[in-house]
Amino acid sequence: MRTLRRWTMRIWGIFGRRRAEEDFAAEMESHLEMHVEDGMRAGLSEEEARRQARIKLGGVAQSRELYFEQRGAPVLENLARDIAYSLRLLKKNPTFAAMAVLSLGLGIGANTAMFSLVNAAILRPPPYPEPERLLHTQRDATMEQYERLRRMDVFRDVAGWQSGGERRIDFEGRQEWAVAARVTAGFFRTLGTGLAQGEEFADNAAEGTAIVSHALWQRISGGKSDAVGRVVELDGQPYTVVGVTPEKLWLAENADVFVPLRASGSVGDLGMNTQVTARLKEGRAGTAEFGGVPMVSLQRWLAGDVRTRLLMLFGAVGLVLLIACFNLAGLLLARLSARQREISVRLALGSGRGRLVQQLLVENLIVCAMGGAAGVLGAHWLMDSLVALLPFRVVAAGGIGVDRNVLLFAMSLTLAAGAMVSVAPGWISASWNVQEALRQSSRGASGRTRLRSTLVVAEIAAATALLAGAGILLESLYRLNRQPLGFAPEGRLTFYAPPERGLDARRKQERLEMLREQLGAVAGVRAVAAANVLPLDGKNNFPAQRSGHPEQSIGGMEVRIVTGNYFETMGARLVSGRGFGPAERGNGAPVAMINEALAKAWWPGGNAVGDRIDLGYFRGKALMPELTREVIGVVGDMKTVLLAEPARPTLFLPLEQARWYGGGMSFVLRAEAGSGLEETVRRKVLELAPGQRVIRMRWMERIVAATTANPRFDAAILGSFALFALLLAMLGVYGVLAYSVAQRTEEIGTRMALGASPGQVLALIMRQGLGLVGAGLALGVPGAWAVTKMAGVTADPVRFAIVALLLGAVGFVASWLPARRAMRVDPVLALRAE
Amino acid sequence: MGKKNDVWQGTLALMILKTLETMGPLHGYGIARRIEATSGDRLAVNYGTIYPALLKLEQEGAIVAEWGVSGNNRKAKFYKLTRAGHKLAEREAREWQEAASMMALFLNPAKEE
Repeated sequence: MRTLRRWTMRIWGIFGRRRAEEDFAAEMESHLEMHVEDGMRAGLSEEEARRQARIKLGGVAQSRELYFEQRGAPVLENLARDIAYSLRLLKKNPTFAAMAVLSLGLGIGANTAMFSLVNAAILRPPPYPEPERLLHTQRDATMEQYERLRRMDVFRDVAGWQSGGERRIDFEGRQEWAVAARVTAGFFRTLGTGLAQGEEFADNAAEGTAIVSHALWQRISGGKSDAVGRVVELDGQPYTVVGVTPEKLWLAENADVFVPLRASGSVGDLGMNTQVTARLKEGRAGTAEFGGVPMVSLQRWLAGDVRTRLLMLFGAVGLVLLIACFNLAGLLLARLSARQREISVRLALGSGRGRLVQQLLVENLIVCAMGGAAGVLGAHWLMDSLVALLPFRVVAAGGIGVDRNVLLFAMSLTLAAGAMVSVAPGWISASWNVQEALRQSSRGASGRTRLRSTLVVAEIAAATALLAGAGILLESLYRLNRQPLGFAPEGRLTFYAPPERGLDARRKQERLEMLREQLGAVAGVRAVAAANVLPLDGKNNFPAQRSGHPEQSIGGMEVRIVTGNYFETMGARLVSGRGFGPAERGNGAPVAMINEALAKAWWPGGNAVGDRIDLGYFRGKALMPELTREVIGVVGDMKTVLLAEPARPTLFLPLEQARWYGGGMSFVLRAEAGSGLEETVRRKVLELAPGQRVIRMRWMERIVAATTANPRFDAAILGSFALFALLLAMLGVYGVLAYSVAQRTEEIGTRMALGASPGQVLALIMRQGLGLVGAGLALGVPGAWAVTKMAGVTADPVRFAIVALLLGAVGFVASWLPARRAMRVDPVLALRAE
Repeated sequence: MGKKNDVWQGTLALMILKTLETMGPLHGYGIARRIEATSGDRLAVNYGTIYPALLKLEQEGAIVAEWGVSGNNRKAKFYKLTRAGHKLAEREAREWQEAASMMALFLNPAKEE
């Protein structure tokens, strides 16, 4: 308590120093006068009395110093003075200040931005009560699994949901498209949010009941407060609203309308189309398998694949900051050398070493703080555009941005950077002493060059790791882009026509045929085909087996329902047999086509054409029996679901023979990319079929590009990091050599005077520069190799050779300029300068 | 400022407090003279050192300072114990005595048992 009071007083004491000085002087004066009076009363002369009084009082200056040191807080005052001095120094050298702040700002900003993402997507728990007790099935689950989990004792609540597509909602003349979800009883109870109004679905909830989101209800009812009991229309069917969600409900998958979901007790329950969230009972913990269903925490599930990628990018961005710090430390060392004379003088004049070091630290911290502030501000302002650039969706409740955690992170990062860049200068200053400093005058110690070289070597080692990482990504991207697609994406415009409700399958198909014919007449359109799912645009699975060979079954066979001209329009290749033709119209025999992957899997002998396939059968069991179809042709493999994997075995059915199919279709128009073609097509469809929606209109090339968006993004980010690292490493090498050449001017002059040729001098300096790069590589390559191995990528010696060559080239360029300067040293001038 | 000084400052503070306790409000010069006299002139205080000590006590709230007029009509800064100062003097004295008696035990080990 006393200490606290004293310090408050002392800090106050920093201010109003002048008044205090006057006060102190007056007190001293009165003290002396009293002493003199006493002395004179004892019989001394005034002069003698004054002399004795002064002696007794001691050095007034000393007392004064002591007094004021006690009065104010010298540490703080010095700090203020150091800050002012540092700012003055930085202002005097704006290039240095700008470079330092910029490189640190970039480093800290990138780290802050990346941490914001990690924070939002990985660290922050989902916004539900007691989120640690929420689990989620690791993979897509089935309703059967949901039922199994529901019966387990460890869970308090278990809820399943399925996406329910887009639905048109009508209420009192207002209409809107809303994303629907099918949810089981107790869905909102499981999340812990409950409902704002009404009741959740019961176990035996009737069809025709719905829960709506607060936002949707506000929009569609124009702000009516009572929702429960009202009737809305979903795709023309009446639904009674039984509940409204809380206003601030957050769901990973946005949905505004909820309809009941329950197990049907049929094979439909076996579809892997359900997400199951479960809440553990109080006191139960852990994530594991429950009744054979692997589960993870909801938080982990929400982060999904993004987790690994974010962590990788986070690591890369950390390396960048490390390099920026090494670089800055090198710059600071260089500055320290330049200021050697000033420091020597200050040491000689009696400045304490501690004070000098403190001043240096303050300077470094100021630079780092400025860099940190620039980085945080940059991250804050650019976050939204950054997130928009991300090719993958980051599921984050509460948005992504700079919050308290991020700020704390950025601050600790800034301090860490400050400490890191101060280690080297601090090391140097530890060996300061007056005599040596004066003796050395402005010539730097060789130890300093060694230290800077070490920093550059570290920089190069880190850059090696980044380059190797970027190399891996670029290589896999290159491989991905060279994958044969099996179709021609150029000049194919596609759009998706979702099924219009209220029409039966047959009417839908008739409408589709009509659209296909009419669109073919649009100027510039050469052919129009359609398929339920386009390559690289999704999947559609159905069980199938080879007739008479139940052991040859695929439970999730990719099945495509296509128009007869689909393969031709896509530019796919017919391998054997024939394509769909007019024979399939009317009551032709049921047929199918298969792709090469399926042909190779089931007919290694190559006699697929003419054989038969049972659709809807799995291992001899009739799950959803359709027809037994004859294989009439084999088409070349087209990429199916992912670009990175070989085509999946696929079965093609002619649309004419799948009259039961009433789902949406994707159109493919082979066309010239004329101006306004998209708009013309869209308008034409609306004109021909009012009520038919046209969504996701894209050129096929974009669909292909979208599948490589993630690897492209990763490669671009890591690539630019690596470039940045390369640039900094180059600057580092250049800086060390330029400094070293300046230091060694005399030595070089002597060598030349003794007969060294300019070429030899050039080689001398180049050797030094390449030596730095070599040392960096010697450290970096094994490290990068180990990391590569850890990441499970084959460590390709060629890749490392390329990295080494690249760094070598950069080192060569960076050494060239200083080496040339050394070569041009005039021995006469150099020796005279001493 | 070394450790030694801290010890000296501590004892000096206690001397100041005890002086003010017995003498009542007094100026710096008077305090210095009184300490010297009390110690039987064994303690030659450098008068200057008393002022930082006074300031420290003031900052701690043990004493308050006020300009006033001395016995022979001279302007002087008078220091006065506050209530906290009285308590502090008591406590410090007790602690000092304890420490001193303990030290005494070390210096003159009792010759018992």
